[in-house]
Amino acid sequence: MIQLTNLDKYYSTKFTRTFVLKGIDLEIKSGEFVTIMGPSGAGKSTLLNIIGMLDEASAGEYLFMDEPVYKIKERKRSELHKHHIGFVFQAYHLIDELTVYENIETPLLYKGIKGKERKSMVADMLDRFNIVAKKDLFPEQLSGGQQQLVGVARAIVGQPKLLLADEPTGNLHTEQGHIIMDIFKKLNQQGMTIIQVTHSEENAQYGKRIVQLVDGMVKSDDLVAAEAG
Amino acid sequence: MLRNYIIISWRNLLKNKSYSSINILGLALGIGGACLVFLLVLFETGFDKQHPDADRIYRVVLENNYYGKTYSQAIPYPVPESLRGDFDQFEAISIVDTNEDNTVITVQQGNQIERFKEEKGIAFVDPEFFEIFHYKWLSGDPKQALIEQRSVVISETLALKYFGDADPVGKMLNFHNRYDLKVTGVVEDHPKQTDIPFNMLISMNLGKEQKRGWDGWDASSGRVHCYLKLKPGIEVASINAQLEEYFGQHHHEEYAQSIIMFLQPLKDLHFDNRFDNFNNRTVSERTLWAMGLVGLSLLLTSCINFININTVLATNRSKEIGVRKVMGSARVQLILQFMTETLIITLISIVGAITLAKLGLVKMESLLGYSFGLELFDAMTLVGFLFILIVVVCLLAGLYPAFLISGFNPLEAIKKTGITLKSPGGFSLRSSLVVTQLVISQILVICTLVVASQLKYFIEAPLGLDREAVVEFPLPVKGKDKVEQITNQLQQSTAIRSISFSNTGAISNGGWGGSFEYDNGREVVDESTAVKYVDQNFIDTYGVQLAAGENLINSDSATMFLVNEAFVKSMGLNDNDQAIGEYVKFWGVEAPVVGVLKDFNTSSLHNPIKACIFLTGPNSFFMGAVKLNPTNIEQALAEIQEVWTTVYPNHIFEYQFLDETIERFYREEQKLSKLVKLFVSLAIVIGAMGLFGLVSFVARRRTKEVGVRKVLGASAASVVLLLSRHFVLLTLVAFLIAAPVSYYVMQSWLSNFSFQIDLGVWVFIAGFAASVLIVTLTIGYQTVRSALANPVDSLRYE
Ligand SMILES: Nc1ncnc2c1ncn2[C@@H]1O[C@H](COP(=O)(O)OP(=O)(O)O)[C@@H](O)[C@H]1O
Ligand SMILES: [Mg+2]
Repeated sequence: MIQLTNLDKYYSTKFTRTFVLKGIDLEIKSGEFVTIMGPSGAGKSTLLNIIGMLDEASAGEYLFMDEPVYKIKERKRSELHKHHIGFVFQAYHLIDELTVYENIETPLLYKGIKGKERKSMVADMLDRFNIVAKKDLFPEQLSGGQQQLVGVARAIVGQPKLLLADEPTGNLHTEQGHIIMDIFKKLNQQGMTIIQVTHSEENAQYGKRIVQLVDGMVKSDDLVAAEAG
Repeated sequence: MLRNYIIISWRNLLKNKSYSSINILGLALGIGGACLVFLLVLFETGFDKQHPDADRIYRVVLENNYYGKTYSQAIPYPVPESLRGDFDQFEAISIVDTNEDNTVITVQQGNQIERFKEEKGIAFVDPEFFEIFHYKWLSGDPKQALIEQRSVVISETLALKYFGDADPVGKMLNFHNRYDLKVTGVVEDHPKQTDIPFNMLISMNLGKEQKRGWDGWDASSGRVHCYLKLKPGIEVASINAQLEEYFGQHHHEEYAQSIIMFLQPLKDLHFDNRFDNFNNRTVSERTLWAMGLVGLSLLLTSCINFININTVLATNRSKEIGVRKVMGSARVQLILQFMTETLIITLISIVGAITLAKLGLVKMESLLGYSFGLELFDAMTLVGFLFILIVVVCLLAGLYPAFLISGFNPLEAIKKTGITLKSPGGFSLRSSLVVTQLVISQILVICTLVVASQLKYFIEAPLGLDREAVVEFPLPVKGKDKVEQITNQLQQSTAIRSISFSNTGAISNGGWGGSFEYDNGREVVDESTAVKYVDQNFIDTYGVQLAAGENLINSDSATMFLVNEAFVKSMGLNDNDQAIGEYVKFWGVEAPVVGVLKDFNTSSLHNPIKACIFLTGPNSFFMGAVKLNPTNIEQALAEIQEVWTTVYPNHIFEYQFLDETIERFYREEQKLSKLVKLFVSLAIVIGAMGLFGLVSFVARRRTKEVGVRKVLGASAASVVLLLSRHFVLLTLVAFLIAAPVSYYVMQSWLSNFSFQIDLGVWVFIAGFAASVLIVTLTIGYQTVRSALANPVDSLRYE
């Protein structure tokens, strides 16, 4: 599904070129659950954003579903976002002026899903995450964990093939974090490809594979030993 | 999706209440102002559209080159009949004689006699009148109605007033105790927008003993016009060619070259200020264009507000935009979303605008002194206009912010709390927009100041005569005996200082003219001159100064002349004294110049002072003038009225103070000035509101910076400077654009007048100062507030 070959990302100033990612080779197959780990500033978010096509690589090749990404036009890119990729952010990034229900509904609107079907899909999500009672509240009326539940619900309601999560549990208590991780695991079992960034070893165990990033380079790339439970 | 857009627009509107209200109020004011201007233009351009074949309807008018170049719609009574006989290219031709206002109509119903006073709206016309002008007939036959001697067609309203519900056709009414008229038709009331505004149309055919007017071509009346309708396919130019010397041919050979008759299209009647019409009001197309520009400026200013505030607000929306993009929103969808928002705000504003326009209409009508009589929503045109306005405003105000916002990079949009919109280096778009607004308001302010000071000058400029406590009154019937009667009876009064008679008074627009001959030794001068018939009291009554020689002595016919200084110059002499005793030939009379009057304005300040000759001639007096004792004005007026009424028992006394007459010359300019002031204040308010919003945003964004600076020891004054420097700079830039533009515009406006103020530097300084003041006041509150705020408070938020 994702094929990165010798990928670089750098920022140029007048005199210097600062590498954030250097020579990344990475292949992620459909159905994988990959955790990217590494110290702060290692380039994890940058990598995730490039994979999610929110950012562009400076050099190297990136194939998304066998298609070179640099050739993809803006319009096609929003199509990909709409249909194939879901994002979960550390800071949730819900739309403040929309209710829980409306936040979850918005991606479906962009997908052009019609009334009844849309309603049932949103209702499904509310059910699944146990937030039916909260559906008419605004984000600021929710706790962080609840907000992130909504964030995840919003990311997966459109049934994307790929879910990208940048420190989804970074702002949450351990307990709340586990809830999110359980959901991720279930989604993965149902076939969704997931790439997450986390600092937590414990959360990394939910995935199948851990990529260690240090100074913009892949330091190690290992399968998770055994099923945690 | 649309619902989602609308919901979020609405919630955002509520969330940013102060900005939303600036947006909405600003747009409402701008749109409301534009609507008013549109109504004004719509009203003024909608005159006499009810007549089918309006493009074939013309008025017969005259260009008089006998003395300068003057234009007149006044024709001698025999003209229509004469033209009817000589031309077969006219489908219809009719005299329209309105020399009969303030009449008494008597109606007898059984034994009951009722009298009605009709102040205006009465015309004597030929039967063909109704073939030229369209009226909606409620009863009677337009073809036959006025053929019968002493027949009359009345309006629906008059019919109701005179006869109640009864059918008026066949009934009689008495005209001013002179003759009975038979009602032969009832027509619907004329629309407001017509310069042919009649309620009572009386057949010109009144019988021999009541025949109107006179047979000669040597006198005409400004209120007797001739209208005609050309047959289809007839070229106006060919008729005009035949009419050119028509007047001279029928009147006097000597006029053949100087008085040119031609046809004025009906559609020009309302706009061509060379001529008068029955509403006594023309409006130049230039004025309408100017108003249109003002309206456009209002709209532009309010749209700029909108753009400025929305681009500012967009920075608060960046997270939402980023998230939407990440969810797969296409750029077009974001543009659509923000356009929907603009549309919602525009629609709300339109509601406000209509309310404001309704209020404004009342104000505008009272300024203009006439009512539009169009209900705001009567005209489909207005609905259409509003629709176009919505589209234009949405595109103008919404498109740029929408493009800008939708173009945010999603990552940056999400990451940062706000996006900086400042373009690196150079002048940012927002600054240019603010400058545009400031340019508009500065131009408007400067122009208003110029117009107002020219007007003040018009009204207060020394004219070379004394306009205080002078009353003028027309003499409805000329004749030496009447003049003597009035003089004798008024002379004794202590309330009156002096009394004088003349043809046109000392100062009037449109006067008499001729040409004189004089042999100054080197050449025979043959020059045109204005003519005033006056008496020996003229000088005292009007306070005119004698520059050389002596005053006239009253006599029945001219035996001596007074002239003005301009006349002396056109004689080819350098010195007033040289003119004294010189013989001048004028209108067949050869007589000496006995005195030279200091130049005074014999017509409005639109015109230069021309050569003028003064001679006695009691049979040509049409105007009396009295210099009153200022302490006794009421008594004097009563006495004059009493005497006048005994001399002219069948007429109604009218008078006017000279200073008011003079003010009236500038009616058009006064109205224009008032109207412009109204709109200019509107533009300034709108601009200031936008600026206020912008500054409060900037101040809020820089709260932390200000806090840090204050902690570091910056004074309140330096903080004010920090926040306002940029805007003061913009004001200066705007001034550099506004000054030359308004200089050019005003120079060309002033060039319409012979007497004009100098475009002094002070107007521009005042315009700039006003602009700086407005900017400072607007931003002052915000800046001072941030400057005085406790820095700890602002830093704590971080
Ligand atoms: N726009 C930018 N310009 C320059 N450097 C940047 C920019 N964005 C990120 N960086 C740098 O790239 C590096 C990697 O950042 P990031 O991917 O966010 O790290 P991580 O998520 O692993 O903590 C950091 O050192 C950061 O300073
Ligand atoms: Mg990161």
